[in-house]
Amino acid sequence: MIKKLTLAVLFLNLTACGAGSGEGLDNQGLPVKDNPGEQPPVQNIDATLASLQQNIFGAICINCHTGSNAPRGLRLDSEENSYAFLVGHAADEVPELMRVDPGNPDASYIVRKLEGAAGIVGGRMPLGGPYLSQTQINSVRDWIANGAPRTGTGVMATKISNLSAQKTTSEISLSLHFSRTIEPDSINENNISVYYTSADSAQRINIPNFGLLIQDQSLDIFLHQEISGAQKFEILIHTTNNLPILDSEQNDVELSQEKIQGGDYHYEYSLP
Amino acid sequence: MNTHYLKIFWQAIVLLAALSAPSAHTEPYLAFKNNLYCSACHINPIGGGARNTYGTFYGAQVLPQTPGSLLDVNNITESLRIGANFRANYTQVDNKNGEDSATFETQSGQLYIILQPKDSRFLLYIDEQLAPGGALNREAFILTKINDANSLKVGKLILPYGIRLEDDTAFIRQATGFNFDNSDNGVEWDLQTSHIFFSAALSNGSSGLTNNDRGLSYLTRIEYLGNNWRVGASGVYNDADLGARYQANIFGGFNWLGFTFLAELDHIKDKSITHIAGTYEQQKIGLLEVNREISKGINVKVTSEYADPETNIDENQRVRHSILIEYTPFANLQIRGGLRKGEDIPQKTLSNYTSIFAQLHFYY
Repeated sequence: MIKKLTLAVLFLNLTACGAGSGEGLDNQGLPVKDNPGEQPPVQNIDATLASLQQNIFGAICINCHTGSNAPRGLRLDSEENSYAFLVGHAADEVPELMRVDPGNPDASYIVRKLEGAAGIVGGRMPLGGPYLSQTQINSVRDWIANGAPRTGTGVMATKISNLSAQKTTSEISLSLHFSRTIEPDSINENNISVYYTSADSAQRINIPNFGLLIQDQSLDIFLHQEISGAQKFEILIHTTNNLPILDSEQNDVELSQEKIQGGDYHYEYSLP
Repeated sequence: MNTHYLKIFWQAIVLLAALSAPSAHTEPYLAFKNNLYCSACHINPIGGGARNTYGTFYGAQVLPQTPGSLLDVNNITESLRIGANFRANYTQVDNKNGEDSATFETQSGQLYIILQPKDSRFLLYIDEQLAPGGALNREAFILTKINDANSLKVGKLILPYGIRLEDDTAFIRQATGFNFDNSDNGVEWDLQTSHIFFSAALSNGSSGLTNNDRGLSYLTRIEYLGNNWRVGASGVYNDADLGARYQANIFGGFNWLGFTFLAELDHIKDKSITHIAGTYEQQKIGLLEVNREISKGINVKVTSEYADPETNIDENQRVRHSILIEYTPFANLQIRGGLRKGEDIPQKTLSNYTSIFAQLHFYY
């Protein structure tokens, strides 16, 4: 009886345990090297491997993906290992895809696993959740779109790393997320045409009025009007007679892998 | 052993389980509660996955508030047996400093196929995850009953290590890597007596992938079944070129005043990881769980977990506390729901949360 009581008391002790204060540690829970006495602020994630390691791979994924028997042999316990086991490395669950396909976030298996996309094998990651926010996933997408560089932000042209559509009770918004910050003055309503196709008609119908919000890496298109039955939206970005869209470094933004006839760039959305 | 003795052996196991167990189920706590091995209800000697005749009987008759069929309908033919589990979840997460979320998801859909030629001591066991996503083979092995006490498994295995919790996100299963999402190729020997269950396994140590070096993983687990209590230990040595990994745990449980207590403490040392100069990464993980059946078909479970992901670093621990109710109104259907609170260092925003979850679990 005394032994059982002792164990019961031990249980109560464990339930009283709390988490560490994190004092002197970085986002991975490792000692801060520069100022060991200070607790660093939570940083925004940028599209570098160092930042992803600090905020995602080394802070979240490492709960499982560490050491000699890491799941699927994928070690994310250091920047070096994350790069070696991700970039250009075939995904064992879907070997025709790479875990990270430099320049191509949509075809990168890690993005599909993080988003729980169709076609993955097994569960969404992190297994059992909580799952990464779209902001966090976009950081991974941006890094891959920029070429998944080992260090720095990469030399590949800025491009659209994610497309999404959202429907609320009052409006539909379409969002283009760029892999780097874009120059807001290099794009306006005149560069953009928006169309929709309804479920019962194959005809493409122009939407003349829409709002545009350009902020940092995002270009959001707001469709204020009621569009009943719309299933698919198309966006055309025209650059033929205009200056190219630029990123904040004044470099051309690569709009699409395949330029369609007439110099326009074409993107399609389906409402979720 | 001839087929006659084999049949008698299995019938004896079922009878013994039925006589000694007012209840037993896929959850380890029920094995603890009834002082049984997991093999009382499962075809796999170390538990989990497809249920045997008694496991099916229990799931239909003993566990639910309203009993179902008395027939063991899992046997399709004399040689073919099937089973299934399906879990669909709703989870709402309030993140302390990050984005909140609400999600419906299919956690897992499992199909078990067991092929045992008539009068054979050999059995083919396949555990296929059909959802979510594409099909994922979790286990595929040949099980050989050498004699009444000994069995041998060869193939793709979820290896025996500590308490075989269903929850892959439990710290003890997550950090050790021994969970239902992480199997390995190898061979496992199990010895079962009335008081001792011993396992030894040799595997790639590469998480189901082809071995990428000459090293293998050596595992052993022993469990002693006392009178209303049990205690056990496991150990793993994974010999990898990049650095060996050592893992060990002790686990146990007992029943007291209608409560069932489970506990496990794990220690991990990985020589392939160095965070502090001159040291290797070491982890300490613990789990305590208390269960109480408040009425037929309704169980309340309280769990506390602790993880120190690197013992050479201070103030980096994380904890998780959960309370949930498991309600089984009818045969083959269980509703689970509860509250969970995860706490980590403030820098890890995703790990500081409160969540509520509900799960519909179909078992067959």
